[in-house]
Amino acid sequence: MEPAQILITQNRAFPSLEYVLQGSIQDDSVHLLKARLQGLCDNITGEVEQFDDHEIVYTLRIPGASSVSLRVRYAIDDIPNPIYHLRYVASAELDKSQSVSVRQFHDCCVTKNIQIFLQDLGFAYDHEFFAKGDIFRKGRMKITVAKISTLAERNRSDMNPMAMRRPFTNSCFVEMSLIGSMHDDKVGDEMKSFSEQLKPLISLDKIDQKR
Amino acid sequence: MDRPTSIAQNKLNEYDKLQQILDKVRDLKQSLANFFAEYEHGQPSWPTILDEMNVLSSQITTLRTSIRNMLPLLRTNSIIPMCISPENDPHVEQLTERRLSIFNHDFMPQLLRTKNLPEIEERERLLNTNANTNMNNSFGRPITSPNEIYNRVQELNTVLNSIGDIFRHTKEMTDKSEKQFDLQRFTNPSDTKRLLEAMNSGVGLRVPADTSSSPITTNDQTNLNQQMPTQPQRPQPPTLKIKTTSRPNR
Repeated sequence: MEPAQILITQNRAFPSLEYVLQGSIQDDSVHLLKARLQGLCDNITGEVEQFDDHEIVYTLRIPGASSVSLRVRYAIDDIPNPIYHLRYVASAELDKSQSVSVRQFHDCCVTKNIQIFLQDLGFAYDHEFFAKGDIFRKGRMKITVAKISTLAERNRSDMNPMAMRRPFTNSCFVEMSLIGSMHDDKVGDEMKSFSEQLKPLISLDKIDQKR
Repeated sequence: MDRPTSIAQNKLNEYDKLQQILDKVRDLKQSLANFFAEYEHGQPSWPTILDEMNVLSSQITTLRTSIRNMLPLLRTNSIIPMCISPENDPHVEQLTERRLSIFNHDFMPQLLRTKNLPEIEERERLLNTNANTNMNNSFGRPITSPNEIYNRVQELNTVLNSIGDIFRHTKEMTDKSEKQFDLQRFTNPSDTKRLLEAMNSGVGLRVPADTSSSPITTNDQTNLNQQMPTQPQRPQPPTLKIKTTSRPNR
């Protein structure tokens, strides 16, 4: 589909909620988690879907109010014509009754001018990272196991994006997310019960609001 | 008067049942022996083999049913050896058709399962020999001088330490492997914290303003268009005026 068509189909008028659980696992145990997920999740072809993305976060600081952040993400495999994906996530709502974190989010596909556009709007570059890993799906749930890395050097102009990365930590970041509307009450329990199956390898928790 | 006789009759019944089972076993053995004899004398025809097999299977089935009926009784009763002796027992020999001639402790422990596993026997033997060698060194000597006391205390300490080591070693070896799996750490809490902070609010990913590094120049604009905004301190992008024209038909 052309990016324009993707734009049309994905620009929704109603806000959607993202139910999310996050956790991490050490690098040397990742293969155990992947094997378990491969067994538990939907597996159409037997091959695990991999992704290698570069995400750049832009922030608009409004004096006197909290800042707004937008995330621009594209797949490195798609170079030289990647499809850019713009995403807005609100901070997670504080809800003791839910077993998962709930946050509002919007997303759409954009053209490659997005970065210049955002800068012109007033957004400033905040930070960026690379995420490389696998996606697993189970029903409506999406589980990503990704290794987060940062840029090691920035000066070369002919760099191969893969070679210049430095891993952020010795662990992989695991996120389980599900997109639903406000009336899905059972979703949280569904996600929590699935995350129980991944213990004791990993314990997925709500987003901590202490920050 | 009735009760003792009925009990006696019950006992007799059980004995009879056991005898029946014994007879069936004997018949089965006989038919098996017949079959093997026939087979060794030359290849019998397929129908005869089938017949023999039929006989054998029916005998085995009847044996199974009779044992199944006896099972509750067998479970509640235990076999007690009447006479274990290291001498040749002709009676036993005759009963077992010369397969067992001496009814002694070597044979019975296997039946009663009182013999330890070979590994455990080996471990016990090692422990005993170690204990004996350690004990022979220190015990039995009289205390003569303060120096001796000090030496004794040292020896006792080493003995206690070695006992503690043996306990620990045995505990590790006999602990279930699942506990070791539980002790394994798959997640690093500090890493988890850093990752969550980075993904949710960018903590740790923001690079402080770096004046020494040169900004990425636009040498290869075509392919590396997206690499431009990777520097916090970068030259202002060329002013790109976004022209908005009013469209009459919307």
